[in-house]
Amino acid sequence: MSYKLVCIGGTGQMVLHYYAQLYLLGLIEEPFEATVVDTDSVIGSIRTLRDFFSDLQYGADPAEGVQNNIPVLATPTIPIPADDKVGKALTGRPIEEIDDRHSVRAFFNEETIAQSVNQGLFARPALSSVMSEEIFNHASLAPKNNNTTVFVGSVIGGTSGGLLAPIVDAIKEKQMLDEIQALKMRAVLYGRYFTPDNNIIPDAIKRFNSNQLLVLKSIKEALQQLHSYFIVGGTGSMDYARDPNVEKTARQLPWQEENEPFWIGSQAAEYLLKENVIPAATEFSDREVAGDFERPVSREAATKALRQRISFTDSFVNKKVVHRLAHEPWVTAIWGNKLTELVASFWNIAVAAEGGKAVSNFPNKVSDALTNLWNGAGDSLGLHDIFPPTPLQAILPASVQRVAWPTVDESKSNRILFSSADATAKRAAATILFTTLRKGI
Amino acid sequence: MRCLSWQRMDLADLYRMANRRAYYSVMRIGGLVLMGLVCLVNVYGQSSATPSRTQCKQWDDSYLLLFNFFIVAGLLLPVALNTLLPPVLGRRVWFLASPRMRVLYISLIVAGILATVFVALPFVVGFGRLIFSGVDQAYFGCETLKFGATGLLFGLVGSGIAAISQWPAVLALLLASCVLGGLIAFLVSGILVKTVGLPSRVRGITA
Repeated sequence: MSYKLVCIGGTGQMVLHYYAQLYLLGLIEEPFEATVVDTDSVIGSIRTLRDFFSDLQYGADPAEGVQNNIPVLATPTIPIPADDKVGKALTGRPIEEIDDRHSVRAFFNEETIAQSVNQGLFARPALSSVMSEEIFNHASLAPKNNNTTVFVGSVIGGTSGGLLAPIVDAIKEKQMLDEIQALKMRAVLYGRYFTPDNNIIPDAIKRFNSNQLLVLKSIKEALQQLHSYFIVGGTGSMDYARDPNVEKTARQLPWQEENEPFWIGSQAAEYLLKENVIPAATEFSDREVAGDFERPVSREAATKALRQRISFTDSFVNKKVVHRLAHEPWVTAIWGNKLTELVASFWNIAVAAEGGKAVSNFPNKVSDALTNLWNGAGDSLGLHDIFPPTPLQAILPASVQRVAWPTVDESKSNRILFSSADATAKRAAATILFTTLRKGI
Repeated sequence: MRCLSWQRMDLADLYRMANRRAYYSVMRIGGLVLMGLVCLVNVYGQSSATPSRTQCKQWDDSYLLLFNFFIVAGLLLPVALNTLLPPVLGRRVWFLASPRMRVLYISLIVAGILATVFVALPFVVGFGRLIFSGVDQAYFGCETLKFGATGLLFGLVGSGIAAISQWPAVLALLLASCVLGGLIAFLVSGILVKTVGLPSRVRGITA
């Protein structure tokens, strides 16, 4: 069984931001695939996660890690000229040159045509589906056998409102063409859950309510393929304060409370991915999952794991355990055999990648790569920045030995990925961080 | 408001200055008390009768024998502790899990202990007890006598001068032995790393 999240628009990305944290902390067991579809830019934390998961690849398949399967996060780009107006993006000519008889004027009003496209689609669903047609054929959206796919997005915004139904439909079409078996499609849909900023989108509430009605109605009519769905919020029922500028980078965002929208969404996504009991209902309205579903991850357990794993990983990286391990005569007694073997195996791969050279500074390279991946380098976020600020607890060196470190089968390594000592050190560091976060004690 | 701020700053400066003065006063008083204590022990410890040359030679040789033991300890303890402590306590103490820093820390701690026990202890608690039971308290009286003292390191340093008079050299030699012990520990650690450490498990890395 495989699991896929299709996260559409800013709301979908924020849910993935929280879901991925729960996975990284070991609170969600099975790996997942995720595809982010957004006409706006991908948020900082998702970019960091995408690159990190990519660095975990060990074998031929992108989902093949050192010992187990790993998540794969795709962010297909939707080709939109970043600084152009909608009119130019649609017609290929400056808006002042679009004459009154151009067919685009039949579908879009003057305000929409003159709108800049570099800040999202301003809650215009129709615009989204016209501009993003190429996305439907992206490989990351191809359906697979024995797969559960959960779509996450809002029905009030431009991107998700416009793209949700066409994407579900495109996947269903491919499923029939490729004779894909046992594909379950579910959705976490966001109704109005925050107070919009009228300075960014004029008459936002009116537009959101209108979109919500339109999109839910079109989903009801068009998406008979959905097995079940959960709705977060709705008109006036939830009033969460969003800050688009903070969400752009999503650096150290605090965790939401249990009753706040993105936390509920990440729980609902996990519930719908793993749920196997609910029978398929004929009536669309009967497919809605009630709000009292059993939460897969308790907030208390998550907070405890967050503190523990972040403390462990922070100590591991900042106390330069790999550097210590490399110069330690009593390496097995202090750090244990499994971590030593893990580093030695990656060192062997690095030696092979460098044509048999000793690469005597390999542990230092791994140590530096760990620091860069964890703390970030330059403007890019480190993995540490994805998690909220948390008080750290003291960690003893003995904890390192108790971690279930993976065993590396050197013969299965993808030589294309391990092309140099630096590339190998980075992948070794990613594997170590992945293990400290998911299994750190 | 401005005036008040300046006044507050002046007060803060005065407070800091007063604190600094108090700190130095305490330090000065502490130093004087220590010096007084040392003098008192010396005066109190000296027996009224001047020791004979034979007695001085006997006590000096005993003191030198101890010194030689301490030099050997300075060489061996850093090596032994760096070899024995990490496998036992390295999993509980971060500094013992740092192969390079622990050599430095252990050598410094050993040097501090040896110097305190061998040089400072006789001046503070006097001779005639514990490890110094073979040296009489009257040994302090031998400092001014010529009795054919062997000198430190079998006469290599300060031949003819009582060992007790050469405490700066004793201190320096003890520190040097610990530094040398640390270097040996470092070399031993390096050899062990290559033979049983991480590099020994990597193909293409020669031991």
